[in-house]
Order: sequence, then structure tokens, then C-alpha cells
Amino acid sequence: MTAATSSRSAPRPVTAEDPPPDVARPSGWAALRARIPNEELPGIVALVVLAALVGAVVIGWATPTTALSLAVVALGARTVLDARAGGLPTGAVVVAGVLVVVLSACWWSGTDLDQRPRWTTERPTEGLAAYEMAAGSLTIDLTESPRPMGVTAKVGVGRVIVKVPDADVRAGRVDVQARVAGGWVSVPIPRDDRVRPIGRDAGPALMDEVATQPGDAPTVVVRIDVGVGNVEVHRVR
Amino acid sequence: MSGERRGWTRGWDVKGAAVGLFLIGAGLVLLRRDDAAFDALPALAVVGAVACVALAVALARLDGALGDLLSKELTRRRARRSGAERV
Repeated sequence: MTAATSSRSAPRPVTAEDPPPDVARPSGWAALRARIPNEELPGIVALVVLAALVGAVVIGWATPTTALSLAVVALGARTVLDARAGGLPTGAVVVAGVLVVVLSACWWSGTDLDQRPRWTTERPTEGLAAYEMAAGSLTIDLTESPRPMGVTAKVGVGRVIVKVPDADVRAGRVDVQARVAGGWVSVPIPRDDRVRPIGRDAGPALMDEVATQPGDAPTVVVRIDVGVGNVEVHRVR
Repeated sequence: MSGERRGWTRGWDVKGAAVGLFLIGAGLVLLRRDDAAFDALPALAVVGAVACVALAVALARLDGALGDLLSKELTRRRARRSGAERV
């Protein structure tokens, strides 16, 4: 009796042919969540936020400055969350620190990171004109502008083309002074022309400066300042 | 408690929390681009750093106190429930 009872209660040995036991496994989102350790969550959330910010800039919902500032906030929040777990995400802190320095420097110097590259041609119709752009190509066509004419242009990165009438240049009525911090200035002038450029001409250099030689009373005065890029003065016949 | 204490049980890193809070503050200042803040930016950075350290210490203590309260409450409920089952 005792033997029969004990044989009934003893578990049957498991064999290879037996079906796998029914274990409750999480599925879908719960399965994904179960595979991610708690320590990794702040980093993953920060990555998602950064990707969303990049998307917002690409779509046009946020300006680059706003997105970078929000990225600093997100990385700071991630650092606080990691500090709650006793850790310090060195990489995130370094990236956020660099962003803070860059954004502060831009704020301090008045550099606008939100301007997008432009390719534009300007034909000033009044006596004075000033142009400023962060990046792109600026063409200033002075062939049909009124006289006297004064133009200033500041470009961060890119190219400036100034079109002036050849007759005015030959008569010494054009005074162009261009300065490029990293790049070159090109003022193509015929060999037999008495109007010679002052300074360097047409060659890659740092701090390239070129000015045309005006006569006694120039009626077209152009001042150009480019950070990185080049300046070309085209004489239109 | 034997064994390695990992993850959320390791406790606050006050230095990391202060750095994180400082970054959050810097991001908010950069986001607003307030002219008044711009004029006082160096002083604001120093005061902000000190304030963030104090805030991090306060945050860590508050979190610890809240955790203790929560733990006690949960233990009390568990004890009450087990006592009721025993009766």
C-alpha cells in the first residue's frame, strides 16, 4: 500500500521526447523591456530624445540653436538619472560640456547658428547697401547700380562675387577692398591695365587681402569681409 | 546585505547629480538667451555651480527620505496583511 502510494506520487523522469514545459514568457513590448537592464534606460531615452531633436531640425520644427540647447538639457537629465544609480556617464558629460562651450561662444560673439546657407544675387538700387550671411554664395551685381554706391558684405563661410563695369574700373572709379581670413581673393586684371591690385592676388592664403587701385574720386566703394571662402571681382564689359 | 549592490540601489552620486543639474541649468539659460543673463554670465556660472551642488545634496537626501518612508509603509502593509491571514 505504501509502495503503491509512493510510486504514484514520485515524478516521472523527463525524457528528450517530452514537450517543453509551458513557461510564461513575456511577449512584445514586455519582452523587449525585460531584455534592457535598468542601468541602460537613461542612456537609451537620451539617445531617443537626441534623435527626435535631429528630426525636428531636419523637418524644420526647431532651429539648430534650440535643438542643441535642448540636447544639453536632455544630457543633463540623463546625467542626473545616472547619478541616481550611482554612476557618471563621462561621454555624455563631455559632449554636453562641448555643446555648452560652443553655444556660449556663439552667443558671446553674436554668431547666428540658425541661418541656413543661401545662394543669392543682389542688385542694389540705393546708394548704400549692406549684406550679411552666415554661409552660402553672394553675388553683388553693380553693373546697373546708381552712382555713387557703397556696399559692405560680411560672409562667414562661402563665396562673394562682385560684378563691376570694366569701364568704371579702367577709369579708377571702383574701390574694392576684400579680406578673407581663410581662402583667397581674386581680382583678374589684364596685364596691360594701369589699374593694379594692391596686396596679394589670386592665390590660396590665410588672411588674404586685395584692394583695387581707385582714382582720386571713386564712385563705387565695396568692402568685403569673408571668414572662410573666396572673393572674386568680375569685370563686366 | 551580502552581494554586490547594483543599479538603483547603489545610492546617489552627488558629484554626478551636481554636474547634471548644472548642465540642465546651462541648457535652459542657452535656450532662453536672456540679455540680462548674458550680461551676468560668468557670475551666473559660479553661482549656478554652487547652487547645483547644494541642490544635488538636497535631492539625494530627499530621495533617501522618501525611499525610507515608502519602504516603511510597504513593510507595514505587508505585515498587516500577513497578520490578517494568520488570524
